[in-house]
Amino acid sequence: MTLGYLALVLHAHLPFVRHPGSDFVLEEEWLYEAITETYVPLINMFEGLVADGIDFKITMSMTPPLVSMLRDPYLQDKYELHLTQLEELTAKELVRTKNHGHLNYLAQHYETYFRTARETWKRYDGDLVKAFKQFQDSGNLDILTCGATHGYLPLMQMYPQAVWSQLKTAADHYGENFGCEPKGIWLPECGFYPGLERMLADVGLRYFLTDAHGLLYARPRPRYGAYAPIFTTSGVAAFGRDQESSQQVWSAEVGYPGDPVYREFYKDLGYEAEYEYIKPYAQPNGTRKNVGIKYHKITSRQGDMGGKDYYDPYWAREKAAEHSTNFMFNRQRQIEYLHGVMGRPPIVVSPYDAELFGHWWYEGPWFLDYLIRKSHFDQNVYQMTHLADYLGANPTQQVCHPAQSSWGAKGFHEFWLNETNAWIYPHLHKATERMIDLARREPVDEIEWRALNQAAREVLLAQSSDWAFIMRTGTMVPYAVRRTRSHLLRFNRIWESMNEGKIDTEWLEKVEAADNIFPGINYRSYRPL
Amino acid sequence: MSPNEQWSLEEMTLRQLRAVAQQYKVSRYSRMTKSELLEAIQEAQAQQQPSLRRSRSLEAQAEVEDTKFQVGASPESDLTDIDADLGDLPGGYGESRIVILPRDPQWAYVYWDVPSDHREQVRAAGGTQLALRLYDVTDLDFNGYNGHSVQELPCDELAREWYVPIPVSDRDFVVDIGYRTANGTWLVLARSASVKVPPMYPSDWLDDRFITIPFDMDLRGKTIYTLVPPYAAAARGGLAPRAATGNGNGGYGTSTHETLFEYAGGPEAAVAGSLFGSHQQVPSEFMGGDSLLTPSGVGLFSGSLFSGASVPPGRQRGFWLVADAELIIYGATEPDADVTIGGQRIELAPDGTFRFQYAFPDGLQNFPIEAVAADGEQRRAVTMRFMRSTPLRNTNTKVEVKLEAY
Repeated sequence: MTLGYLALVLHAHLPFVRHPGSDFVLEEEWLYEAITETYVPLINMFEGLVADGIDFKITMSMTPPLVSMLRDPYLQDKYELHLTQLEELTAKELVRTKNHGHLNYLAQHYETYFRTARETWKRYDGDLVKAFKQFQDSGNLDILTCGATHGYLPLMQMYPQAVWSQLKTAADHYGENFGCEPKGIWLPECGFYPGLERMLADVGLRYFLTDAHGLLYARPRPRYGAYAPIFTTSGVAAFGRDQESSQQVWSAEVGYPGDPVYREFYKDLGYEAEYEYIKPYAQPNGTRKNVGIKYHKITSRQGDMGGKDYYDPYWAREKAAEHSTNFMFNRQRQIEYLHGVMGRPPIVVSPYDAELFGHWWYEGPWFLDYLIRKSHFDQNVYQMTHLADYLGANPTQQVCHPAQSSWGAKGFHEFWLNETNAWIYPHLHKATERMIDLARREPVDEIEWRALNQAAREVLLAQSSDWAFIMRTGTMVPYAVRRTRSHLLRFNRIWESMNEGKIDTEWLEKVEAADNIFPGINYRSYRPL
Repeated sequence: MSPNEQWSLEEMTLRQLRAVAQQYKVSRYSRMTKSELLEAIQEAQAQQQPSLRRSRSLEAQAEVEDTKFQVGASPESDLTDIDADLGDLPGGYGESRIVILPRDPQWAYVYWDVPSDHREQVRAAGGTQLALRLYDVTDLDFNGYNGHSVQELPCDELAREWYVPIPVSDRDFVVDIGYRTANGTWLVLARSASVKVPPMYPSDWLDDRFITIPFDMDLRGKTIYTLVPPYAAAARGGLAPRAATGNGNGGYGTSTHETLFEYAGGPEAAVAGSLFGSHQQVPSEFMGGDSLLTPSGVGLFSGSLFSGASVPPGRQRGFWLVADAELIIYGATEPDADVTIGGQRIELAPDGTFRFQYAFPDGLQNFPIEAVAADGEQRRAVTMRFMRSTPLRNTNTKVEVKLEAY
């Protein structure tokens, strides 16, 4: 009999980036890198666990934009080309490094790594959603939905229809792709505000996650803090994030991923290699880019980029095993303590970005694999669970109003509302008002119906929290600005043409072809509730 | 970005490289060889693009999340011809509106759009000073006059956005933009929708209600439970009514709540009432020199018209005041009687007396007290009502010292 539960939650998300008709858009590589470094290694890990008879339990959100991209034939083809290029480059690396023992060993490591990716890709016919779905069907994965385009809900709370459309469109999309209704949701950026629980219940959801203070600041104050979910008055459960386990993985200073033997993220062959050699793998205009082959380890947390030693996956894997033991030990002590204080089994909920594992922390998937295996075989203080299983087995919880909060820096809305990105909200809100207005209409013909649906897609795409996030972090800002403007302008054009009663069919077709997310969207989700 | 930079540095001629080096203010560039130039420019670029390095002052989590998007520096190029003749986003939409967005427990962001003809019209009607009015409308059907509190923040005619300090967290606010006339009349240009500001402190309300909801139950359209808000809840210094124990779990006190709160949030959570450093919400990097000060010194704005570059407070100094009210209800009856306050059973002292201390927020508090004798038949009751309003509040605690520029 165990004393409590550990629930790992992986939030898999990328904004909708798809530019058919353009030869090269660097931002599409967000998806390709995440496939090779995160999604494929996770699938391989799940397969290995099942093969070894381990009935693992993980909660994982897969956002509608990510699911749409993973199922998109155009992007699937482009990923194959991308992978082919990597394989070609690796073959050249094997030759180039043949007189350098360590580098050649690393080149062989990448050869195996990319070959594995290729095999996994083929095994599922390039449809990784199918791969994840099978683990949900077997009860191992609990796949959550998200806002339709990861829109930041607290900053659209004045427009309940806009929030509803984010939820409803996502739930419908989930049904189309996973063959059942979603039970749980990852609120975009864990952004919660009072009142949202009503809509979550009405769209059929049963639970969501908040940051720790979403529960700790709840009213009345929850008896068990962040270590038991609370029921909102609509009956939807809210789970709180555990700070301690978060810190151990997220933190660059004190967290595991900063260990000197792990692979250095910032030193990529695309920038390190001699120019003429790497040029075929650079951007078409000749500018270097990351290729995903990295030969160095972090070496020292203070050291400069020049003084990095070569990476060794053997020792990195050993370290991942050691770190998983440490993580397990800490959870055991934590859960023993909590059980003593609470007098009932606590649940420790540890949410992370899925892309943290593999992409940022290259050894992350090994760490997870060791953690799940060790937890299964080597201890009985806690059991790993996913949120659906937990609620099924623990249907009695305290009723509280969770507090408005997010998991962003400083805990509220500032990361998405500051001097770098506040300019988007007057436009986003105006488009939202106009969309709500448009939704009152019934189309007179097929063209109008398509225009109304496309208008809804454009509003949703403009609302992605990623654009405001990128404007704040300062990476790829021009792209985020361009995407925000572009969807708003496309929306405005449709709005104007609806009012003038003349729709440019040719232009509409082009927009439909480019922004083809949510083929089954219903613009009527913007009608008053 | 100059056209030059759309092309790879490494393919540039010496002459082109020199031009770029000049832009980046590389010293003695004219004497450098091609490879020296290349190195110097890349170094200068790296310094101007700190985001490609770890030095960026992001929180650890944001930094990690951001690496999803780091694949290299992208040239700004036209992605598609779909947008070719769509023009630009408008500077305004030609109708008066104002929107308030919560940023954190202490600050809200307000933006507005008021066409100049509307302003002129209202000025002609006697409006002199443009201002924002912030109303606390918690649990109200707001009609413009019945706010729990109102604060007026004079603002500049050129401003389009403002950071507004929030007097009390975890409450609902509406903001007006309008003109005050010479005789003090308020002429509204636009009124916002109401939003709730997140809480600054953990709740004092303890009320452990446990319910069972089977996992397969459909929740659509249902309200599973109605929580009765706490006049019967506030509790400091051991005066709290014992929390209800409906599930036979027994032995409830405050210790579990406190222990787990501190465990989950760290000691600073309980001390400062602020888990995430929200008492220093304005990072130093925002404290630019070009912020302008309002006459009152409380709201801040950016003079730039449509840029969206708003600037929270500049250099700061602090002062503080806390003041609040609590309500004490006391009485006595037979020691074996059942006494309820607002329908909630309370415990009597062995001599039959009771005494409870409650939070006393703005608004009307209703206290129906009923005693039922041990025989279950004899009843006595008293109902008391208390009204509190707070017409003025400009306060803050010591830990959340307001940022006032000077």
